Amino acid sequence: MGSRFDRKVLPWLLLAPALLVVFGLVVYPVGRTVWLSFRSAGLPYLASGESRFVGLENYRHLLTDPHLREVFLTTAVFGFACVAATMAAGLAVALLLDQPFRGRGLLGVLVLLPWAVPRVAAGVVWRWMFDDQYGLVNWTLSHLGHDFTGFSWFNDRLPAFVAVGVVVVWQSFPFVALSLLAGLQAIPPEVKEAARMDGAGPLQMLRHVTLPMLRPLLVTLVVVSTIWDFKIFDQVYVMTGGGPYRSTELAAITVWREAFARLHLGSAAALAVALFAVLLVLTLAYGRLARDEPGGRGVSPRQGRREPPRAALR
Amino acid sequence: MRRSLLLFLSVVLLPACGALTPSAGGAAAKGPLQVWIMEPGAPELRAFFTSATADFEAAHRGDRVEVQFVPWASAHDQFVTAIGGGQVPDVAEMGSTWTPEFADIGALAPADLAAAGTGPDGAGRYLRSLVDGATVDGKVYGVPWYAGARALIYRADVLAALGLSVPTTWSELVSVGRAIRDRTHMAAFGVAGNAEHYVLPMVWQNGGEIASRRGGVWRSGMSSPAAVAAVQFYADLYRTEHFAPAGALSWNARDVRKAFEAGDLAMMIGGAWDLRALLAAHPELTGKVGTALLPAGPAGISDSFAGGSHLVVFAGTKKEALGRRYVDFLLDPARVAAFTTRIGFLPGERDAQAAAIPADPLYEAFSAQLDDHSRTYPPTREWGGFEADGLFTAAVQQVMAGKKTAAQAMAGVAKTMDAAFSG
Amino acid sequence: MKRRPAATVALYAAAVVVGLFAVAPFAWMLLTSIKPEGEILRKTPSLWTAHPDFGRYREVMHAGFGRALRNSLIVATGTTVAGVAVAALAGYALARFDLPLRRYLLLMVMGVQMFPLVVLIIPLFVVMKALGLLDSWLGLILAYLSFTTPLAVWLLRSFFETIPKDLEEAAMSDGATRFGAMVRVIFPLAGPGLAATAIFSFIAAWNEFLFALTFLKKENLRTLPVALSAFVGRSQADWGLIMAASVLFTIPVVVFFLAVHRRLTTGMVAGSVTG
Repeated sequence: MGSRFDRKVLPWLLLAPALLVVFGLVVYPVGRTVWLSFRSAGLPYLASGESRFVGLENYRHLLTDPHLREVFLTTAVFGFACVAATMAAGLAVALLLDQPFRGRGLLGVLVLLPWAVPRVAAGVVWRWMFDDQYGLVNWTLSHLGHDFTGFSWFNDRLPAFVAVGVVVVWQSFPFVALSLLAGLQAIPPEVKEAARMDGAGPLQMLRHVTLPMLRPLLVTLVVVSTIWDFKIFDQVYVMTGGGPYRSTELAAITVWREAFARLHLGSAAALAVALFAVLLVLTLAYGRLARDEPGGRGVSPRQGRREPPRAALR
Repeated sequence: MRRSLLLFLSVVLLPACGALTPSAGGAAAKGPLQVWIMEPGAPELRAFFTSATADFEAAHRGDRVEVQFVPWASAHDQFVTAIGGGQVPDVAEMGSTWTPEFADIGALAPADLAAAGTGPDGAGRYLRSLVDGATVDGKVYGVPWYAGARALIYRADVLAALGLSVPTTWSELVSVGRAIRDRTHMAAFGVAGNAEHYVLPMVWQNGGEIASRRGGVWRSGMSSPAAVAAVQFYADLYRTEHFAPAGALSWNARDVRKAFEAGDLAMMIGGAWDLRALLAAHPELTGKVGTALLPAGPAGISDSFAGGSHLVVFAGTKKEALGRRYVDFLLDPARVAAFTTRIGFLPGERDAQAAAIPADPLYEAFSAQLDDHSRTYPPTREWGGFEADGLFTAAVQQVMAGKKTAAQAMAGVAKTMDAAFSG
Repeated sequence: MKRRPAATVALYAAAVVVGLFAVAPFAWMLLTSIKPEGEILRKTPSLWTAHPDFGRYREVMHAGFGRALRNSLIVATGTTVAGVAVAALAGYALARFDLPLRRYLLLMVMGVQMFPLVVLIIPLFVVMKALGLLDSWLGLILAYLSFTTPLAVWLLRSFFETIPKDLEEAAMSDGATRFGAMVRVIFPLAGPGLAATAIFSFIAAWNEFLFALTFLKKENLRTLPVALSAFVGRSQADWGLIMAASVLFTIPVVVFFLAVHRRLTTGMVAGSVTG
């Protein structure tokens, strides 16, 4: 059906802009970054393309420089911690929203707000809320019984990461919660009914019925969350700038600093490639986990997932 | 319909052409002169430049000037990225400690300090330390614009009420500080973690050197006993003497001033611009504030950091002539005097200085500090990098937090410095 | 099934806590922006104000945010229009023709979602510099296309696949070319899919910080996130103003999002989860 042009030429014409974008703006830059990671490049590279081949030197520097090792470790630990917190919060909120109660629809909408707020704005407003003297957080905590008056969150590494972590979780849990909610609503009621008949209480239901049925979805969400949380830049930049004394620098921030504030482009490229490699490995590992675990091939409520989450909240 | 296909494609591609490329980089021949000025947080600065720009444009029909303000905190990074991306302005105010670094990578055009009767490098005309600070391999790359040295600002009323006299040495600083700490609710002294201009001069005051040049090679002096002791002293003012609240670990100079303005701090290190700004914001402090030279260290030295800015023209600008005219315009003595007195700096030109010193004896300490008791940091091309990496503040904060001793921290600093100098 | 009263109380309590957690920062942002100066820096924060002061918004607009707002609109709209156009064409091609690239599409989408943007930014910076596109909106829009296009193509391909082929075939048997059928028959039906893609592109471009920070140095070209970040650095704890600026940045996208989230969540959950 259709002319020869329509069959042979048109498809490629239609694809051409997207191919141009993908190859020119994605594939080529990634390749270039990998290439750059084996070279020493600074201002001359930006001015005239000059750079020097240095083999694995940049990678060796990554492994031996104490600050860079620290950054990697920190990014990993912080990333996993955020993922765990986000999944826990998301699951809890999903379970909550699965219950019928008055105002459920409203809550569903409210829960969306943190997701919609731009990351820079979220960082800024939470920075204000974590202010040591006039912030809402210290006041609230002090009222709940633990005296936090004048406590400076950004003085030291751990409290600073807690503060940034709160922001990250605040912005990530909505997506997880709503995705899980859709998953929960897709679980066929007969399965739940059957379990209840067997005398399962809510906790057992969760452990033996709900979670196993949600496994593929859970894995996907963990993967997606991990990727997001390993890429964090905006919130940290705006809240701590990487301080105090560069101790809250996450990998993305360090790459940016190395490249654009210090013009060590080769070293920055190596760091970026390493970060990407780590994410790749994690993704593949998760994927394998999803397939090999018992129950991984269990009933995956795919049909139900197409149903808009909104419908469930009416 | 081939026609509709072509039409469709051109509609899709149209936004990609021209319409969305407002202006090419700063080094364009058309368009206004691009000027970057540092923003110290003084609102009068913007007002000054609005009127100055209007004056310049009136005197130079057809030429327009666009002034962009850059916060000090991110300025160094912004310069680096701009240089990398070819997005530099035509003219900029450059922190005096960064000029060697950017001159060395070829980003700046040589300056023209010649003036009638004072020789080709205009040495006699400008403050020596500022000229040295802009010299790389014998060529000067920036014209000194203004200078300022920090001295001691204190609550004279509080000291008087406690029967204390102004500290003139380190040990007096400690004893006065202790008295204030124990007998009032105020913090005694603004020892801040993020303020290298507070701690580095203490190395000089203790008779040490930050770095020195021997046989053409720079070597760090930060691991010398004098430097280590100075840093330990500073850190202990926070850690053991508790002269400042816990949050001071991450304070910068602006936070110190905020605390002083709020009446929570009795003594601080600050410049005339700080004094001017805080009195403007809190007129109730007039008459309660005193100034003095920085307390002298055991070596009897009370040197402070002679900071300041150069005006630089970027290499490769297509508006060099106009840019230099703008620099000359800003450097007109009357204009410099108007600018510096409003903000609280002193002109970089010696002749202009005498005229610019405010009559108010309160400001005498600052000019005395600048003229007789101030130095610049080693004018090396690596210095900008040290500041950008927070090399000194990071180390000092670790000592203040008790995570390292001064000896350990300074050993690391010296190592990094020497590696940069030799590498 | 009846719930025990204790469980009901716990449920509502939990709902309130979750709701507060989600909304409080938002409300606090708004509140701080309209509080009179003296009420902001209080050790005991006041949860309400009797004298709202909206003057800060005017101040902030004059301080460059009016311009930044315009810039963000231009960049986000440009990204959306270009992105949707490019992705619609490609998505259609992939949905209707048997091309060798189909298998790699998912790989590409997952790959790009997985990249930290910093992996792309150095070479993109160099390319933009070489093309003279730094300090230009076109350069930024192109950079944004790099991370919005793959997912957009994916979404639209999935969407086009749900439209029956008979429709074009009917049009073509009436004498239309494939392209004509695409434009006149399919695209009008593609509203929901195009909308979802447009929404996602617009929001991604509106919020994007890293590229904007790196590519734009001229103050009058800045987009909102960069202007806000610079403003925080500059204002030194004038939180009222900073919050007003944050509100200007946040409100448009949140309102937009609430109005259209239905389309977006359906599309994204389906697209990212189903294989």
